[in-house]
Amino acid sequence: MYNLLQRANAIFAFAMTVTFGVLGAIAIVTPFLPSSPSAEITVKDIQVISYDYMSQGESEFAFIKLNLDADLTSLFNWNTKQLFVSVLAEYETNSHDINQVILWDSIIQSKEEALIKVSDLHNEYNFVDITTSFRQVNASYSLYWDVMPYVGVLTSGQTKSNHVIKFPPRSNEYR
Amino acid sequence: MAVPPPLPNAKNEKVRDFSSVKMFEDEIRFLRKMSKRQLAQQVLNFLMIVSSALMVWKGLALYTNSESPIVVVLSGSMEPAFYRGDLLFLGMPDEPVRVGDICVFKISGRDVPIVHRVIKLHDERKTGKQYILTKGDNNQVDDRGLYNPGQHWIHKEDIIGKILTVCRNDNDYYE
Repeated sequence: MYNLLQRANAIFAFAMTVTFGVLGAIAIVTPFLPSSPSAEITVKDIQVISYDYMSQGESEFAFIKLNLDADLTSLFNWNTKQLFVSVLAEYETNSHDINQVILWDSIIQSKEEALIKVSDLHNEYNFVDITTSFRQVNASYSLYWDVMPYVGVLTSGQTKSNHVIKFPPRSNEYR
Repeated sequence: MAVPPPLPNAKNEKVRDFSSVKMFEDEIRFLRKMSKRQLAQQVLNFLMIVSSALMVWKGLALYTNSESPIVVVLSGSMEPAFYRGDLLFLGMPDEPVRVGDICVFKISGRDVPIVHRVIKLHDERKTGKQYILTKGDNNQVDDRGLYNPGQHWIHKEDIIGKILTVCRNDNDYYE
């Protein structure tokens, strides 16, 4: 009645349906898994020095040294492929109400690496403002992470930053 | 499709005739038997199938608010998050872009979209215009080298969508 090919086809179709059902269930359940990440950032030192920068002319560059202490191991469940972690600086100026700059980032691929302890973290990227001057505004520093699951939607999170610190005035040379 | 029997040639050898009229003899005979109405119905059926596929695609583009909701990764600049050949599902929510989002954007004047992460963001207070700088996770430098000459930022209009989820293409996984 049914030859081998028809049976194989039926089995394959059913297997595909079941697989997608399971993957869909995993994707739906993942956001509800509990997690308790924590991080603390303390700013050790900030210097602001002025250099010529592309077409902006004289721009103020901020050089930051931070201490980073973070425990993101709880974000690693069986459905986590990797974490993208970055230190984020947020501040407000007169002309621009939202300014967000990533200072340092790292990709974490295993639970052991998720215990981050870096002292003397320097900003990896240029910290320049679009208005060429920081004008000594307050900036808050927080840790931002992106969770990349094996199956499911990409999610992200951020620590609440209670460490707000002012930019110092321009200094003449790098210490 | 029936293969016509080999024709005997002058030397009485059996030769296959590959002229296209003879090859489609059966099909052409079948089509000639149909009335004009039946022929029109067949054409309409075919057009219905094609346009249904197009409707599903455009409907998906409308639902996700993005002009191209499914794209393929072309380069390795976002490894180890995405590899070449992976499918990305995009959506474009109404909220403004945030730092850390992985966005697919097109540089004006170029056809090829790029998928990279936003690392700097400055929002103008008065106009709400967003000045965005992107960088691939696997690249050492930011994307200013990729933008048009003289262009230092991209804006929300250049962004096609934010990544919602990835469909890995495991063929490349074992490379």
